[in-house]
Amino acid sequence: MFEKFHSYAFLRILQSEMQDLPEAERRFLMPITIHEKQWLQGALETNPTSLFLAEKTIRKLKSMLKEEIPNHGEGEFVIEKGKPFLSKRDNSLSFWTHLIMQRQAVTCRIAYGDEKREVTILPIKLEYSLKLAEWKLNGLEIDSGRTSLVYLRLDQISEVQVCPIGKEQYETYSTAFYKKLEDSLEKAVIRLNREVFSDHPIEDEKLRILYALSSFDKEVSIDENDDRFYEITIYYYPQDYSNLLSVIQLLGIRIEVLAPASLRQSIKEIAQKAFTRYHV
Amino acid sequence: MRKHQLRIEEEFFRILFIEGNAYQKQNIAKRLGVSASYFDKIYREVKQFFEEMHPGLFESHRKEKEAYSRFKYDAYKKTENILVWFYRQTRQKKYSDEIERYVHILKFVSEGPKTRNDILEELQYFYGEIEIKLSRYLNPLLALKILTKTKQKKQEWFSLNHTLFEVLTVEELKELYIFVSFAANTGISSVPGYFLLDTVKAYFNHIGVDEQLDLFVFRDNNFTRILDEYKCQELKEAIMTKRYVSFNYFSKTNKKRAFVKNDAEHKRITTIPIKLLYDHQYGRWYLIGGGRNRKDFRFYKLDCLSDVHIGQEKVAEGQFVEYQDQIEQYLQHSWLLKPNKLTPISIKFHKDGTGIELKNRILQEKRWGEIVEETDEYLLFHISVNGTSEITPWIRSFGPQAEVIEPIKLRNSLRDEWKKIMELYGDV
Repeated sequence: MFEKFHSYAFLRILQSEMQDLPEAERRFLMPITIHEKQWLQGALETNPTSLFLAEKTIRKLKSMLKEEIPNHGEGEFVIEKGKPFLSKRDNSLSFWTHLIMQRQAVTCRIAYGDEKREVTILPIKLEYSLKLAEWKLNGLEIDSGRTSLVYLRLDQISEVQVCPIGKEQYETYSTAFYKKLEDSLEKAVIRLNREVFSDHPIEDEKLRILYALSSFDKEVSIDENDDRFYEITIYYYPQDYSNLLSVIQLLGIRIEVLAPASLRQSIKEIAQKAFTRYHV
Repeated sequence: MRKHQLRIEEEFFRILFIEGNAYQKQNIAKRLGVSASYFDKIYREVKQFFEEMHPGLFESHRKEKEAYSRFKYDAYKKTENILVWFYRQTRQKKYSDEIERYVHILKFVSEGPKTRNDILEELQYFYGEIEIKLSRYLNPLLALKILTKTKQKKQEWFSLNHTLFEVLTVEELKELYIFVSFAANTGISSVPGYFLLDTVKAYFNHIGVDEQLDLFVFRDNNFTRILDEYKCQELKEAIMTKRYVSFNYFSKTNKKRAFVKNDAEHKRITTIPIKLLYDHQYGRWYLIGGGRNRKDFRFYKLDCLSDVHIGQEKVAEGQFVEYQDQIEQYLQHSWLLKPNKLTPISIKFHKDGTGIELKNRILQEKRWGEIVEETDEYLLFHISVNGTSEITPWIRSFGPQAEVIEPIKLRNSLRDEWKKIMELYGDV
């Protein structure tokens, strides 16, 4: 019954009705359902709210939601296995979110290991790793006419000063960021190791491999006469490389990397090094 | 009918998203157990939607004279979970009159509290005689808490419930949007969170907020987890009311999976729903179900489960509590799902110049394990776990940085596996 209220059709009709209303009245008309309120109630209890919300906002939300039916915590019904601990670090997060919203650049000092230098950066996205509960800043270094992609942990950035830029300049840099990002896209090809699956009920194994790769954009080709012939092309950005490597290692002998040669070489070296560790 | 269609769409999205374009169009239809023309109808709707709403994401190709499609998903370009579409679309033509009346009621009531008669007269003025009882319109709005009802002078008065947009300023709503974006993408059971995100975004579009609000990229996000959420909701209700559930299930040894139509081919299972389990490592949902008479339980993958029915029969309180305790004990030391003898494992993590990153990762993923020793060269990690098979892929994912010290059997098996991998890549 409730699907109608959450449908795009409902949202669309509501929006068209709102067109005729003065702004002050529009805010009364956007309905929030009990499902959304209960979800929000739970989310406020289980997330590091202070990273995103001001104290006043939290107070207002809690006061509004306390009148609602109490939220049955997920824990009553759901066991989560392998849930990463939520990070309460990175207190500079709200600074970066505001900066990206306002489309502003910064001058700052960045540190890679022992190397430190001053740069001007246009922050574009904040990246959160669900596995590591870690934030990274994605952006474009825009010093002296040259532009290059930057990808930094927030604690690698210090002495930050806002450096306002115009709308046109922002658009130019933002376009350059996405263009550079697209140009940096790489691909790897893996296949199921048929030796391992020679007499296996393969379907579930195959799915487990695909689930392990579910956060990557990929294409799969299959020989429909032989389920074991399964090739997966994975698209990834250079910053995904260590994550991809980790998944390939996790899958172990069940898969074989076919391309690129450099990735095959890396896996070979990893295997050699790991084997040597056990062989001493 | 709607359930059947949902199931087809669920599998279709799973194929597109999880399995890439492994199957060509006519083979997907075959796999879903529907006719080519029926599948074509669904395919066109999905394609049209994505071409309108998210251009460039739904990619069609022609390969060897046969069409196939895939999602071309780039987390940098789209922060939202596009699979929410699965929950958002209805047959618009079928419901548009009804939805229009709901919206009309909301707009009318937004002027101030109204009685039942006021609302009826308003609807009749605009639409003539309405075809169904007024309470059929008002009850869902009350149940969803969009409207509230009060009694004054023997009259029922209907008014709009407080919305976030009334309570929060635009700046606070922006904070909320960013928070919800984080919480929906990093938590489970998050479909209502994605709905809320859409609602706030729609409001911003109306009042002309043009700031950049999609700020995040979420790495390692298993977007497809939401495809099983509607089943989770049904199963949660069954757990809450302690009622038996039944469903169709196809076993993992089944060579061809996910047939939607041929339910007769699936096993119909009745079980006591005890808990749901979400595995973050692979992004999969399970139901833990207990036997009626036997004192054992099984794990059912939700992506293999369909047509959930909550029965009338209640589970005895004692039996339910007993199962919950049993499961708690059982899972206390299992890496994922498997029982086995509790095995102490000792792993030496070699820093190899990546000390901070390595330690951070272990601290995030260690579960109940402990780092018992740290030197400049390594971290020594201890954990006791039910058997070794489920934890092995995690250990292997550290590559040469993880060296199992104990048990010797696991040490030897990892050594042998690395040797096999070395041989596999022998002629790079």
